[in-house]
Amino acid sequence: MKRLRAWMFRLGGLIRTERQEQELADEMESHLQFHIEDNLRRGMTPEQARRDATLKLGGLEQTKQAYRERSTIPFIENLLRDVRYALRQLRKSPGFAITAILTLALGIGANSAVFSVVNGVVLRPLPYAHPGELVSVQSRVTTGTPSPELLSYPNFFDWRKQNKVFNWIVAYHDDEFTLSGSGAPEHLDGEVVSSGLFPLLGVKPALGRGFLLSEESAGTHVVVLSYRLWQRKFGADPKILGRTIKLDKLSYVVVGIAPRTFRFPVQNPDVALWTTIAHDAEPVQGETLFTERGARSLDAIARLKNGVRIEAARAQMDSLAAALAKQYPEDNGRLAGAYIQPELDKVLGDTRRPLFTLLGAVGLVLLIACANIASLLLLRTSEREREIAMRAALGAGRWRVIRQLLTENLLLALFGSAAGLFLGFICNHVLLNVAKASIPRIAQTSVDSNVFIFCTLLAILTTFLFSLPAVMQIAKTDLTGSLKSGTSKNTQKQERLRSILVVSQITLGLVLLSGAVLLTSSFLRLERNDIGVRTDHLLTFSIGIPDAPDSIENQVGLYHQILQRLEHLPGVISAAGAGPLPLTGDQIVFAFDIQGQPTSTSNRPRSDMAFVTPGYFKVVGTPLLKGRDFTKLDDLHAPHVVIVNKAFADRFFPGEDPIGKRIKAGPKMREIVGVVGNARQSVLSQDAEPIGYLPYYQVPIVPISVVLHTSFAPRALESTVRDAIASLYPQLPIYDVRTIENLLSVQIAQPRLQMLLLGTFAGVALLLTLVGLYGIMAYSVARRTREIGVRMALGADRSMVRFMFLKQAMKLVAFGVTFGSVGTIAATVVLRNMLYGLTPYDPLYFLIACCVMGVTGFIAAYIPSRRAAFIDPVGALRTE
Amino acid sequence: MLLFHLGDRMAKRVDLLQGTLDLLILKAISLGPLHGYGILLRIQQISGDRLEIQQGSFYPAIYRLEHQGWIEGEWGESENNRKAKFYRLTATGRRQLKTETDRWAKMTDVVGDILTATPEEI
Repeated sequence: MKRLRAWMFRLGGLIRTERQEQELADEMESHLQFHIEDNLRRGMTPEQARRDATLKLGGLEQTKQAYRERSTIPFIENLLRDVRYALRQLRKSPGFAITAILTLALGIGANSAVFSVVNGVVLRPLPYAHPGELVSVQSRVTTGTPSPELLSYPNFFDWRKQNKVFNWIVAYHDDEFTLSGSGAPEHLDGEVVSSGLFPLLGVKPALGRGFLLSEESAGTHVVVLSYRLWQRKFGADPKILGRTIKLDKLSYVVVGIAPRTFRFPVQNPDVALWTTIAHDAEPVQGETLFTERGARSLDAIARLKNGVRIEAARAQMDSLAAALAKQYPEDNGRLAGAYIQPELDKVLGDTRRPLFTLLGAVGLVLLIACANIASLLLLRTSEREREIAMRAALGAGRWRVIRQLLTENLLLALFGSAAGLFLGFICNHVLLNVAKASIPRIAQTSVDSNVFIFCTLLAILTTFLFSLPAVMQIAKTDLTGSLKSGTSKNTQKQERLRSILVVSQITLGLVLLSGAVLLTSSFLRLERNDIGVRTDHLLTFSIGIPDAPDSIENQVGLYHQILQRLEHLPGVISAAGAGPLPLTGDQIVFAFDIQGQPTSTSNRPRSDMAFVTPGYFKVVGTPLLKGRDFTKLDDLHAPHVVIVNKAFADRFFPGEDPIGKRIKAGPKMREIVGVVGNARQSVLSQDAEPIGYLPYYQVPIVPISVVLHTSFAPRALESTVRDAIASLYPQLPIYDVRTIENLLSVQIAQPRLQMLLLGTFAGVALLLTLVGLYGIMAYSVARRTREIGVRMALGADRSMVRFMFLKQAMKLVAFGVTFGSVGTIAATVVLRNMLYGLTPYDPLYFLIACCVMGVTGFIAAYIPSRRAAFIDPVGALRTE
Repeated sequence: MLLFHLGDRMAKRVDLLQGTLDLLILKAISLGPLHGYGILLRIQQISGDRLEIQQGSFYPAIYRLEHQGWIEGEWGESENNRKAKFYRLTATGRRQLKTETDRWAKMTDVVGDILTATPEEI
């Protein structure tokens, strides 16, 4: 208790020092006066009296110091004094302080922006209970390279029944619904899930309940609404439970409301409702998905039982999958394994690696910034050599001097970090805009406490990094020496240190630059890729047609009617339907047989398929290379036909004419009647994928989108189109209205983001390197003014002087480039996965990077060299 | 036993001194509030000028006691109208004085016994 009191007193002493110092001085003064009076009374002269009293009291300062050491904690007091001193020092050289703080703000700001994304996307756990136990469960392709494959209902049901490693396993897939009844029909994203989703995720519904096992059977229509939909559409009616709503013209009973922040799947924030797999249990033409083992459309999420490791789950599910593969070789032959990964890994997909690569790159930028500040600090330390020597002479230990320096630097770093945090906050917003939805979960990233901690740690780390050279200098040199000699002996050594710093800057800068050049050329190539469809004047949208099972013929008629109506709109050149649309990355993959080339069921050739209406190729501008397009005559009653793209023909009929060949995709044998150019489903794939086009009017089994070729800006047509369709079918919602430019920009958003970021980093790195090299050259010229004078006096001409300095600078650049090329090789290995259709080892890109670095170095060196060359030799000799 | 020396020999007995000086200060104040110089005078006066206190260690001792919470200082005026800080004993200070005095008495007894011991007694 007493000790605590004493400490409180000392802590208090930190704050109250000034008043107390005054009081102390007063007390000493009053003591002296008493003593002097006594002495005077004893008959001393006034001088004697004062002298005696002062002597007896002893050193005033020592007494004060003894008092101070008692009344505060010396370490903290020293620290505060150091901070005050440091602030004074920084105020005295605002140029240095601002340069250093801005440099750091740039470095730390970029880092905090990238880290905020990494933090939000990768590090943040899934928003469910015990997210570490959640795994994604899929089939694994066991022929060729192992890859995940969606589940079919029978396989899912078998796995759910037989496994002993999961507490819960839930299958799900995206679907779309049209909500009608109240107000205008609305198109909604929904999720079809099996029972147990809420207990699996450890989430309690805001109202009502989740789904029961009994609600999975055909004929059940129950729905859980998202909180937002409930608020928006139903006015947050607390009595909604038990009410029915109309989805796709069927009545669904509302059994629950999801919590306000609930998302499932986590990467899709727009899901507005959840319903059970009973949705898929209805038989279509006598068949239901529940019994079709080959129809793979499901993802699954599961929660590991307590204490079960993911490896154990993998082993058991593998053996289950192997048994099923043996039992059903037709459908499961190539899926004799399970693909089990942490759910977070599945959500992130392949975005984790590029993000960490970018974090590494931005770390390099910070290192380069540190080198600049370290170099500045070295200069500053020698400028302050006399001051430091003075402090040493007055009794400051080496450690004390270093600590003072570190305090000053930490202060700089903290200021820089605060500015950086602010900058990061702004950059984060820019990043989110550029990234769009290309990175899962990115919309929810923000500058939170983790980012704050990260920045503070960075400030401390950078302080030590950029203080190191200056500290080394102080630690090595004779502190009081410079006081005696009056000049510095350390200039030579210091310049070498600074040169090393510049070389490392160039090294790191070159690594970043090569990376940026690689990504940029890869991106440019990506943009120039022939995507096989026109890149302007295309408008696409979807129509929410309820997929009531009996209306297939109606659907065909409906699209036929709508397309005809649209084609006659002013501004529309042609119209067609297609699904899946190109450039969306959506795929429908079919296994098929080629007539006359029998294969075992598990090795059947596979290809993308798309469903199009006649005239589609003309609308999107994909050239017909051979044969004919579909016509209106290719309907349900006509011979079955198919058109393939060039990649399809090259892969499956190499060296042959595919026209007239027959393939069996689905239940019917089809004749190939045409070959078209390669249109891309995804721009990001290396090569064009084979695609088979089926006439929609013959196989109207998937929802298609409408594509319009317009004669003027496609967006301007949107309202006309909406009106035209509303006049025909007022109950049908129009959604996903996008231009081809929209589709493209979403597809290339991620590589574009990577390119922009790495490009920016490289630019900043280049700028910092330029400043660093310029700094050291300018200083070198200033220091050698006298030498230049002598040289000129002895007959050196200006170009020789200029050459001398240029040589010195280019030597540094050469060193940096040499080391940098080693680093670049390492970096390209990391970047390999971020490149599209480019070999990273192409020396061309490296040469470009070297040239840019060389030119930058030359510019940085040329200005000071020129100044050196124009030094007046007479004036130079006269200087000290 | 010589408790107080002048000069550097004193420093070697800091441990003994410190406790003793504290005790003397507490005692001096217990007789009535005093300012720093007054405390010095009173100790010298009571000791019949046999003790001279090194003033350099005097104020640190005062502050130490103040921090311990044994004495309290308050600014006031002396009899000749000079501003001075007057110290008085707190309740804990009074208790401390008592225990310290007892301890001191015990110790001088023991030390005295040892110093006066004759060979027969051992």
